[in-house]
Order: sequence, then C-alpha cells, then structure tokens
Amino acid sequence: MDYKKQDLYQMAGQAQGGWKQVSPSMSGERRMAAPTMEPPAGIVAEPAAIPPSAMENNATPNISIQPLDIPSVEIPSVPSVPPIGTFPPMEILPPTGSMPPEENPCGFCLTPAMSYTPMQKWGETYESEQGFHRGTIFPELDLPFVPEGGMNHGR
Amino acid sequence: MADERTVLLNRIQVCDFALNDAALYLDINPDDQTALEYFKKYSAMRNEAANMFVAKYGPLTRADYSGEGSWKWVDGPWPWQKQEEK
Repeated sequence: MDYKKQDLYQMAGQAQGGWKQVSPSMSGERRMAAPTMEPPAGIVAEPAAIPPSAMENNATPNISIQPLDIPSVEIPSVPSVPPIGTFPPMEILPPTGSMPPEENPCGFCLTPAMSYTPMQKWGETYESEQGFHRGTIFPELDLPFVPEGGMNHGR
Repeated sequence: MADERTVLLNRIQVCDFALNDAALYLDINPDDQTALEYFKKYSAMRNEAANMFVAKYGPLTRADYSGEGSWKWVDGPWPWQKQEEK
C-alpha cells in the first residue's frame, strides 16, 4: 500500500460519507499533516458517480466484474470503471473503529488493519559495553521477545 | 584478567558495534547533532584503540600495512584468533 492510497483512506475517514476523488498532487502535501474537519482543497465531490445508496449507508460499493462471455447486461447500480491512471472510487470507511488524531501520537486518523511506525528520536543510550551485550545501544529498542510457555525450555 | 591484546580487541569490537548502531540511526536522522557527537566520540575511541593495537600487535586488516620491510599480516595470531590458539 503506498502513500496515495493511505492518504485516501485517511481522507476517507474525514469525509463523513459520500464519494470523494482526490487530485494526485494532494497526496504529497497530506502525508504527515494533521487532518482538519473540513475537506482539504482539491477534494471535489463527484455527485454523478455516487450511487444514492452508497451515500446513505457507507456500504461497500457493489463492484462486479463482468465475465467476458456474457453479453453486457446493464446493471444500473454498478459504477463505471474509471480510466487507468485515475483513482477509483473508494469505499468510505466508517469512523467507528478508527483512532482519531487526538487519541494517538501520529496526529492523524489511524485506521484499523494498517501498521504505523513512529520515527525514532535520540534519547538515552546504553554504555557501549552494555549495548554490545544487549544487541542495541538504544534502550527503547531493547525488546527481548522471549517466548513463554515452552519454546525455550531445556535450553 | 584479560591481557591487553584482548582488552584492546574487545574495545574495538564494542566501539564498532556502537558506531554501527549509531550509523543506522544517522541514516534516517542525518542532522541529529547529539547522534553525531556520539558517533564522533566512539569513532575517536575506536581509532585510538585500533592504533594502539596495530602498534603493539600487528595489523588489524591488511590495509594497516605501513611500509615495513616485512608483510606482518602473516605473523599470527590473526585478530580473530583467541590468544590460546596462538
């Protein structure tokens, strides 16, 4: 997953329903910025592409791929496939289950099932001898994940 | 009590480890002055120990050849050999 998609998820969380499309130049500016409640400039609503049902309940859009051998059957509720190079319509993530910016140290909305690694800041260091034996000079990285329950018994 | 050769080798090893770990940090924080100071301190300590070792016990690497009339590298023990293996 790259930044652009992650940004889309992030902005999707703020969008409070409805389909949004973002211009590609947005993603760089939005990387680490704290989100605001107002949609940033550059996000435009596309009412024509929004099925009314998706607007109301944030449901997963019913995108289906037509088998080739079936003659095209018109299904009114299926959104059209966007041209290559543009962002496809995104499912709007419900705000429930996300961690809002004020509750986490990253400063932006954390969605479930995505991992985040904060940047390390230089703090205390071990004495070099101790660091050598601990395998790191940084106490905050000294995380011995010792298995419990039998894996290392008898060693 | 470890002999001086072992003490010097340990010091070089410990300093090299600290330098490596600090370098990993500096790779992503290249302007962190505290980290740079740390690196400078252990770099000096490492070089001092290495120079002392080379002067007394021969080359740490073949690049330590400094123009003698004989290729000291082949005079054991090599730096990675423990003293009792001599």
